[in-house]
Amino acid sequence: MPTLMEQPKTSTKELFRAQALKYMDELYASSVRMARNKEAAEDLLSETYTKAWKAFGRFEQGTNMRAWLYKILTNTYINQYRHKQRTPYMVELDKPQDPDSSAGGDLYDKILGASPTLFDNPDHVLANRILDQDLKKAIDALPDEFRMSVILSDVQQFSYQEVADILSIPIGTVRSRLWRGRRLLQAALWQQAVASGLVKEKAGGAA
Amino acid sequence: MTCEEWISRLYEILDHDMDETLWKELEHHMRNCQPCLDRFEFEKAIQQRLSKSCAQETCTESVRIRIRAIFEETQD
Repeated sequence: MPTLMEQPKTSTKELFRAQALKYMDELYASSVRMARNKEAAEDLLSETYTKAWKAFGRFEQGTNMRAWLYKILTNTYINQYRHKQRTPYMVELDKPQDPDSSAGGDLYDKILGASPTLFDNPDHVLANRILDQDLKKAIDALPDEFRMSVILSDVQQFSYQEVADILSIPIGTVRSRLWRGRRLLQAALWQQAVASGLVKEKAGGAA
Repeated sequence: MTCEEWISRLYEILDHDMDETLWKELEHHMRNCQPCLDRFEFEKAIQQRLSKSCAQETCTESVRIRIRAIFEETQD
């Protein structure tokens, strides 16, 4: 006999709509940064939701839906899309023979060396002068393994542990990929800042 | 630790990956070292810009329709 306290059952569709759809815009943003073009990103997003809907019965209610969707997204990208993509251009570190050196290659040191006055208020300068499109271009230039970590950590602000879970890699690997990814990203931002005339590269380099 | 060593670890704070004792030590160091503080603010600004500029993009209506069709048309 049904009790009077029984709640009307929420349908699976309603649950999915309420829990999964709210991440559509941010998943789309991440898809664009992964696939590097809007059309492929739309396919990637659509495939992600198709898989999520099919697997929704296995999603453990109360756990992290956002991380769960990102795991599906990154797996889909890694398995199906990345082989079709080519890195549009590669950025080189200043000292490729010494990638672990923390000196010399940083954007900060370079800008400081080139245009000290830009640094009267470093915060302010950066916040206003680097264009959105330049940031996106710099992310797009990263090789896959570093790009994924930067998107998840710096852009979408997942913790190291969450990034490790999403990408199924050890937490130490997340740290090292982020470290290297950020250096590559800064190298790309520097190249763009020089190319756009924001800063002038000193003769003989800024190292 | 030297300034160079602190700088190499700045992202541990930005990523909330530094233990509290060390964090306090670095905080103390930065109160007395303007170059390290500037550097910290710089890296923080880049990280914030990345998240502000690239975290959200609005899907087109056609994508929304396509995604809704994935589950709305199936039997519950």
